[in-house]
Amino acid sequence: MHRYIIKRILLLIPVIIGVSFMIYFIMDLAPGNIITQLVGEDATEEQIEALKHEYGYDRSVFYRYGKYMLGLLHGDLGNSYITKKPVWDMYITRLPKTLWLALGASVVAILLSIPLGIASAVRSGSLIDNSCMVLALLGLSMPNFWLGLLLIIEFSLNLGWFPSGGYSGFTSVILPAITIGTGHMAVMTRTTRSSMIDVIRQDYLRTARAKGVSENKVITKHAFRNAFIPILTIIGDQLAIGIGGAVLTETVFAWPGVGRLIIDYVHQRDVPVVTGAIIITTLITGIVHLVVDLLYAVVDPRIKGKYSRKGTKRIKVRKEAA
Amino acid sequence: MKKSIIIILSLMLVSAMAFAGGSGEKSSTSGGEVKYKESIVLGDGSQITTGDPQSINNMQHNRIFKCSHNTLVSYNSATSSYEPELATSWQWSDDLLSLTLKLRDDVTFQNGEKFTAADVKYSYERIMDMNSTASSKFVGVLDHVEVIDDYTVKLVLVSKNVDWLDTLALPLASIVNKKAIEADSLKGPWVGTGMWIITDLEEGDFVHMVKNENYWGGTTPTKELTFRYIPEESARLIALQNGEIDVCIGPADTEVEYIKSDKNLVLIEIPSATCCYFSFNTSKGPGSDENLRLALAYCINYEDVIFGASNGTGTRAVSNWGPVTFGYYDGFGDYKRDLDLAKQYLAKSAYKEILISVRDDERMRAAQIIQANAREIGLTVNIEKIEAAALTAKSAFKTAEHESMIYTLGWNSYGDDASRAYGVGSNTNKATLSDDRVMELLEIGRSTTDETARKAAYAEIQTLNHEHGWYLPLYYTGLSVATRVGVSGVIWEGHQSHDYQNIVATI
Repeated sequence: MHRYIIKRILLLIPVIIGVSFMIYFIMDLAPGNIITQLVGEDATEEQIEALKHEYGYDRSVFYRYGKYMLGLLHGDLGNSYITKKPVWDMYITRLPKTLWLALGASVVAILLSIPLGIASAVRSGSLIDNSCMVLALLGLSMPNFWLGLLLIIEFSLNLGWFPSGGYSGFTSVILPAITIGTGHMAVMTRTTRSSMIDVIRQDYLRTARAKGVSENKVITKHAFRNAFIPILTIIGDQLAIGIGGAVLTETVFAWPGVGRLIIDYVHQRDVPVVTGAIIITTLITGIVHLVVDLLYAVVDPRIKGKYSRKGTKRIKVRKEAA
Repeated sequence: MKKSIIIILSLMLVSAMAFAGGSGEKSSTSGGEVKYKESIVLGDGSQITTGDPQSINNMQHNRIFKCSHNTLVSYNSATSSYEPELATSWQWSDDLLSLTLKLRDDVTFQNGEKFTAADVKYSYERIMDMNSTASSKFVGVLDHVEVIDDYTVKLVLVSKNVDWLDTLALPLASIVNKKAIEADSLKGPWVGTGMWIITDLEEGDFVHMVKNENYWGGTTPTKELTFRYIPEESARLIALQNGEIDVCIGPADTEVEYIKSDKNLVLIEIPSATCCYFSFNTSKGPGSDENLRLALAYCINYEDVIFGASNGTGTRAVSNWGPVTFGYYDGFGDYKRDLDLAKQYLAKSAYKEILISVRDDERMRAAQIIQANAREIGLTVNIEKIEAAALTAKSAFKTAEHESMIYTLGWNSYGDDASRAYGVGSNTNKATLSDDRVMELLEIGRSTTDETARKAAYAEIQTLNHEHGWYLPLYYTGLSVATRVGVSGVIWEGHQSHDYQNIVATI
């Protein structure tokens, strides 16, 4: 198991190199650079040349990238060209707010999707099933900036239950979490439904019923647990997407999250902030996926064997014997 | 069981009492009866990235710095005159190459340090070393600073510039404290001599300020100011409507009617100094052909452009100049729409097609209307919408590749501001003009104190522009701010660097 974890962490290194390379070069290819953002349009030629030299824009992009990666090897994500603050500090200020939002959205999605998906699967083909699927389709189709504004108008302006935006504690998370969670809920509901339908038809459930196990227990303890792996995968995916930042929702709710950090500084061509933020987000996403993979072993003990050295050896011996 | 019920009921009673309190809104009184809010929140659609007044020069940051810092002089737009601030008086030398200022001796910085002439020298030298958007106002203009004594300073210029006082009044020329900056290079520049102390700044989120109890210029009943970044216009207005913010800076044009109909809100409409204009690249391509430029000038339906692009909130701009900028002149009159005249000009032009570059939706709408107008005379107009940074790069003076563009320029009050739009080498010179006569006139404008001569020079620039069609001014953008009823004490400026120092909100 430990080897598996270490292997997965080491695999993140080429991913980070690839991501940073792509971002750096894409930012460089985009027209405009940080120099105009820093000195404005009224700068003299001398100012522009001095700044180009200071930020390495009189050298090739490979030189700048090499310098950046050298700093990254020492754990230095660099400083923002605009704010002069360390990129790490800027990111870490926003990360907790993004995590709150991502977790909140996941909770909303899970609380809605699992009961809906199970009900839909158990009553497959019925009015309940069709209603759940229509709800799921609505959640998928609705633009979340539109839903966000509707929620603000109703629950903030008309009813006064929640703040309209900004980060100000627990109540401020609810509306944006519902906005994002509705889209996630749609995907999870459909996955839960199809996964449960596959499992419900299995013979061992018929056996359980024949042995007198209650229908509730058949569904929740036996069927759901075996159907949970794909659902867990989707939960992990959606959580990772949420951590990457939901830019539209963050804009509507003035949420100071990672998504807006990246977009705002892309517009300003602040390469260290964009590259650094995406690298950290990539790392966190990789770790989330690793945790999900490890959780498979908790949900299904058969998978645990595959991760361990003994398990691999056992499988090898069996293959050789065969 | 009975005990459990008693405990639960007691907890409910305590909770009810805890939440039964009033709105929690703190107030302070002034002069006896009137109650004021202690904390005022402003919602802004532009984000703040720094508390260093010398590192940036734009309207959203200037609003902060006017609260936290002071300059040597300030500009009173109501009287169009310069007033003492940290300086009490000033005197130009006979050759207009140096300015000597006497300073206040009763000012301390927010960190307790005494303000002296050495701080002026340090501040201005720092600006010139910084290579920021603020630096371009000083580099090549200010030669050096001499400290005559603790409260007298002499500014020596590279060349004559009678509008130098306007630069000194800009927030970028705020005085900062050397000791604070040497102790903390990031937060040190936040320390000024102003009424408000920046206590917290989260980029892209908020700026929080508390009242400086030792401010030399007086006091205010307000104790806290917070500028919150709310990018979405509708959400910003909703926050105002439900009382989360007290001021909504820059509500959407489409929501002006909602604001007017809400009895809890006040709409403040301010004459704008931002001009939306059509600019040709006169150095090459279709824009270099005067006949094509004038063909377009006479075929545009300007009223349609104002209505369609600005939702009717703009006002017609006749001259490519700030409406309150020194030297404004429009004696040549407007381009009256004349399709026959436009066709005549087009017939003489070698070009029958032009590309307009824009960067946002409002300018896109203007371009689409112009495209339709141009079709009526047989001129093909293509439109491209590109990102702001890309358009800035495309239209830089030296390497300009654009054929034409629709852009905006916020005009300051001083005459030499025209150097940005008309001066050779300026990246704000989107027409890429290199006209010797214009440069002569700009030099006259900045090097004499004779107001008549200055006005005549600037009038000639504007007349030349009208005759040659380098820039086609379209409209001054609509500018409004929405506040809750009871908010007052703000000096509203056409260039949007509103002065919130003395803002109050009655309860």
